[in-house]
Amino acid sequence: MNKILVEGLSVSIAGKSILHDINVSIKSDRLVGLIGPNGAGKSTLIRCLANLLRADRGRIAINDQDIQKYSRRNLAKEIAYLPQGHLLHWPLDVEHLVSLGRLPHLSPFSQISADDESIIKRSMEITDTLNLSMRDVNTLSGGERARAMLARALAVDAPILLADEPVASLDPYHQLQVMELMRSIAESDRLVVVVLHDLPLAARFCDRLILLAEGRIVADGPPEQVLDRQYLGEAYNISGIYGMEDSERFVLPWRRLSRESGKC
Amino acid sequence: MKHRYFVSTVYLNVVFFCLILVFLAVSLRIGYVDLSLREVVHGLLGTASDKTITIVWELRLPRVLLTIAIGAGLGLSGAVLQSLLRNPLAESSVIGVSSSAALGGVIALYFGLSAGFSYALPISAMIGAGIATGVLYFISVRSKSTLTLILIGIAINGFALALISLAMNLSPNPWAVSEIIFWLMGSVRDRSFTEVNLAVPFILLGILILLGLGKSLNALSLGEDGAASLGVNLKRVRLLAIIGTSISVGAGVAVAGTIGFVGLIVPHLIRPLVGNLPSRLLLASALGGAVLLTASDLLVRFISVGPELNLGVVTSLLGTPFFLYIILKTRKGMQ
Repeated sequence: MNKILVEGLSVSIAGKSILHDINVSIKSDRLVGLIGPNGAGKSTLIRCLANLLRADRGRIAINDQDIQKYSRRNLAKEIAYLPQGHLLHWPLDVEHLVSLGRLPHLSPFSQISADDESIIKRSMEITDTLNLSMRDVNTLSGGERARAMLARALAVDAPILLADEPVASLDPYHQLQVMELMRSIAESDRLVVVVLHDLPLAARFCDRLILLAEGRIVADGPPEQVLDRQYLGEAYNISGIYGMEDSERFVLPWRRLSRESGKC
Repeated sequence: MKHRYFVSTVYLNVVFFCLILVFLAVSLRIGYVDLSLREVVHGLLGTASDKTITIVWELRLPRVLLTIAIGAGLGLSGAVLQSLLRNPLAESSVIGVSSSAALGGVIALYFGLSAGFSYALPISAMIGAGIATGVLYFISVRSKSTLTLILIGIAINGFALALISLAMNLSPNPWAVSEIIFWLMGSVRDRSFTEVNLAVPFILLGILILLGLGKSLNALSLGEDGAASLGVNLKRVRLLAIIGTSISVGAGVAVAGTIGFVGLIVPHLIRPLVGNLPSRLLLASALGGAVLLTASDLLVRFISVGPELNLGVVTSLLGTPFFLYIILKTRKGMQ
């Protein structure tokens, strides 16, 4: 069972406090959505979980071990991180890109082995990118690129996957496709934490949502509980429309609230 | 299929290596007095006439060894800088590292440091290169724009050249001034084993350091967060890249002046052949740099128009149109 435990985490960047006293325990859940308005600290929190950012106070434990006690390489084997923006600095082939995910498993002078190859191939199969393997990543469409990047993260073969806004700037078809992929990855015994802006997607695909606002956790629980009227008002300053479709509940952000009514 | 680039990388490296051997042989054979291959071999083994031994060992071998080492150092450091800064225009002469190394050299000469301690010149040049690379890295890494790096490079270049000009301005001796100018133009003419011993060990050390960075630089294609999440120690990679570049560029500048654009041309020509994965580029860029520079030096020696052309002048003539071409090609990323 994969576990993330966050205790009393506070982070400030350049003198500005971003996260205050965050306490979260993620255990049996599989697909966990991290939601909240811009500037709430979602990316900061997920970067702390990936140990890319040092907290001022508090601790993070990954699978019962303090994150600071991991060697870089061992932590890289436990946690795969998919950065925001799907940025790639050189026009690599998809296959080369995906093979970068094997890096934590390679010793300094070793080459990709047959086992590595099969994991690379499987990651590409899962994300349906095998037919793109020879293509230059920078010539792919947004949806293809998102899948190729996800394949790279999967190739790490880590039990925990952290993804920062994997569906940003994708069209609805590809948003659904990537979320379905996230869902199926989570179902293959991985813990997936994903930063999302899209509330309907978050509600439909996640087992649990953590709602951040102004650096604090406002609500934490199953989607129907977290995306409730009161929390949407408090955190996002909006009201939503709620409904049912095929026995699935959905929520649509609908109207801005005036500043006063949102706060009070 | 899966290794389609790998085969061509090995093949390319073998081809480059053979070309280096060929140019080495040609460089030893041809000159004011042409020697046969037999004479060259006997000269190297010390079984030829004293005159031939002198020509081979004292005139030609140091020059070609320096050219190979400097070319390899420049080609490799260009490939590493481009991968580290994720910028296809990064190259030691473009971004002011070479002129800062030259400034370091001028300081050592100006204050007479090298008179007492011969290693003062290369060490001072390496420190100059190191400061410039470090400053560049820490300023440019905060900005994602290709343009920022080039602008910072212009500033560093300008500052280093201004200080060199100041040194020349204050110099009481016109001979020293012309010597500095000539040195800045870059040349491996009339170099002896004194220069080889001063520079080549450092360049080789720098090359060894840089060649070890391949996998980390691959990971940096994903950006710094992406690389760190794959277990790459960014601080270590930065430090090694800066040290390796400074050592190999600085030591080269110390004995041969500023020879520009090799590190820009070579990786750029090799990338389409080996793919864009930085690790495949490194060794090929080192060998390719050595090929390009030994070829250019042979060209310089063959073209007999009055005084011998300086190597740095030739590479700049080749390099600047190339630089412009790469700017035009990548200008989308510059906004």
